[in-house]
Amino acid sequence: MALVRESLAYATRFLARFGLAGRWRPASEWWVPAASLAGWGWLAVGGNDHGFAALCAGGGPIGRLVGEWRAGILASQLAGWLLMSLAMTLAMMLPLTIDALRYVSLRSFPWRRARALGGWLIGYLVPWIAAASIASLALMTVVGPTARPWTAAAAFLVAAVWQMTPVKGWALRACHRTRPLKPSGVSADASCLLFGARVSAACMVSCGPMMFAAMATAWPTVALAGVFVVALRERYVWRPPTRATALALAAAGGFLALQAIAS
Amino acid sequence: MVQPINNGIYTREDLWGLAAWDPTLVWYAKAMGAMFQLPISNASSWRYQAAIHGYDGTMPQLQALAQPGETLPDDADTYWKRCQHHGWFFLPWHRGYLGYFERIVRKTIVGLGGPAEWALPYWNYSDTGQNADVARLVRPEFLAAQLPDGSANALFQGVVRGRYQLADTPKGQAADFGIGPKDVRLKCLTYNHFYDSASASSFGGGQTAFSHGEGGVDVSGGVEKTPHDNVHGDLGGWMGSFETAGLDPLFWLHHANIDRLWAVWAADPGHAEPPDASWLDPTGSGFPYQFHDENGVSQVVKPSDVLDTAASVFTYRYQDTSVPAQVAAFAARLPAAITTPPAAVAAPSPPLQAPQLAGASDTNIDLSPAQVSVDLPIQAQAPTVDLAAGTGARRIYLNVESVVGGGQLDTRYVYLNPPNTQTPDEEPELYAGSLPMFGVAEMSRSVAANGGNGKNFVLNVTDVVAHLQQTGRWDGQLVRVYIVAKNPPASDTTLTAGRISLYYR
Repeated sequence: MALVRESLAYATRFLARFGLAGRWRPASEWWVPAASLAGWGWLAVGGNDHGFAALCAGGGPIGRLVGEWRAGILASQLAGWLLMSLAMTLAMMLPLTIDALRYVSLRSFPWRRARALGGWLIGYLVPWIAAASIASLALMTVVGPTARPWTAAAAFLVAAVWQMTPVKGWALRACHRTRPLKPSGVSADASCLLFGARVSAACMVSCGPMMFAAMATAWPTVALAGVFVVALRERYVWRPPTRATALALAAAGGFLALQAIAS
Repeated sequence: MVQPINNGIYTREDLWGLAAWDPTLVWYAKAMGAMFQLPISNASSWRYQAAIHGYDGTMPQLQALAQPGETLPDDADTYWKRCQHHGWFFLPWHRGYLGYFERIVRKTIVGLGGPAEWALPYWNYSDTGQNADVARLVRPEFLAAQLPDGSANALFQGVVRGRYQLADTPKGQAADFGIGPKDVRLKCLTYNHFYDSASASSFGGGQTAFSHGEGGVDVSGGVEKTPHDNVHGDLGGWMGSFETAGLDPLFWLHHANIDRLWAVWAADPGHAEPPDASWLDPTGSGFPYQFHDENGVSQVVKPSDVLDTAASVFTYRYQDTSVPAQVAAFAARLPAAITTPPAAVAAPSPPLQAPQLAGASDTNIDLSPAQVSVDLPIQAQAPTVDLAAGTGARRIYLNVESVVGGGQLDTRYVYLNPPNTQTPDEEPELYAGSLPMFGVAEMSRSVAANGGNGKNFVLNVTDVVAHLQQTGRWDGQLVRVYIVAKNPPASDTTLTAGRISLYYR
């Protein structure tokens, strides 16, 4: 019961961050959960529940994409692939950035607020989209379908170890770091872009290993959803449950390893 | 004569209203001595109580806390390092902290044969009345090596204080630690809202979750900044750091006064604490606040429990909660057109719209020199402000953002458009506020919860701008911000502000 109560309180405070249940609206960030939901919807419809491995083996749109990539690039399919990476980034990473977005909003002139937020988002999203695309490509082409179960197991165990490193702690704190913004002109655009990129880099160092591990599973959308919950909790609680998260990741890795053996 | 206890309610008395070596102070000293002897693992020990505020076992200067070989308590993770700062929980958390500390000290005093009605005195350093000439000084009882009976005085022995030379203070007299009138002014009592946007000034602080470190949106309330942070910084030594402040017996008297100022503010019918459940009964990571009572039993404190000090489990009130005379003087500086009638702010909800940025510096500012002058351009798109007419904006805030630093840090005083930078205090109406450095070094480190963002300061400069407009020295295009160090900076001082900005609402 206490856990339910705490979860509801946590959800309420989380919604408050988007101006949905709170009092402050310097510029309402309602679009953040909307974009995130859209991303999750795209991921779900994109057939990820059947796993990259199955698609890679020749069934479904991803397998066809890989085949056509090898045969010669078709721009529309490449765009679809990048959109998948964008969807994943919007779904998972955008809700973690609400404090930074609010900071950019608060510290920008009202007449250039949208431009400042846009610059920050480009700086934040582009590295993540690139990283997600590279990770997907690696999983589809380098790892191959038969090695995927072991890759996923190993990746979760690596992510578990990563959780306990000082670098992870540093990166998590760095996600809270803000930067003074130049007020106007091209330098303002550059400072928003750079601020977004720095948060993106800290995010990748912090969350990247467990996200890669989730992508490597046979049910990436489900696994990513689990990682999303973990990342949310790490980002917004006072004392991130680092040890508990490491244990959970290790348990997932162990489970996947046993599954790989059994298969 | 003040009745120490009335209808079961303890009275916290004015420190400077007590006679020399008043029994309140003698018993406080004896209790501190006894509590200091207890092992740090004992929840009633002085050092355990100090560690609740802050503790860092890696800091070599913390030998006064855990001694080598001492066993730390098993519950340190639950009860220690819980001080709430830079947000709206600053006041209620410290009220609970002080309340249980007072009960522990009272029980210790009773055990030593002292009075059961003992209550923590408050240090009213802002007094401009009958104690004005001594209010900001440290009383002799905190500087004497011995109590009247010849035993060691724990209020002084081993206590680490700041740079001011006690050897220059004649024995038996109060000491000047350099707490100036600007360090203890009470402009915060004129702020109508308990909490507000991170770019505006409020009484209690910005809206945060547990503790601070929320990515640049944490901001101290007016009372936390001045006089709280200023007094911490001026006393220095143990009081100069989160991790050791609770060791100094003056800490508790200082915070009793801060707590009293909350009672003064709340007594105004135009003021109200937040109605939000997330403040009154916070839940989630880090909550609820837990303390040990005088019997070592764990107790929970919620802000809703402590709004009325007399009705709370601590059952106390203050000897004097009248509004200081200076508050009316601050309010009188505002033009009538922008003075909100009390009835209009009786509703506890702050306005929904955050202040809007009107001007900002485009480089970071080196604040380490003794004097710094920054020209702040106001954007042409910003509204034209006429405070006398109440148009364009009704409140103006100066933000000094992302202040990071190290070495020996000292308070900075801020002025707007001073005609004579050599003697800026010639025209006190141009004084904008202070930037006390308490907490800046800690918040500048990358290991800090906020990733080393440093500290954000907000100064309500509406009255200053009103004066500039009244005297024809406001063009609405440029503001000269003049920042001067309280004392000559030390050679190891590094201090920068990421940006200085001006906000209109």
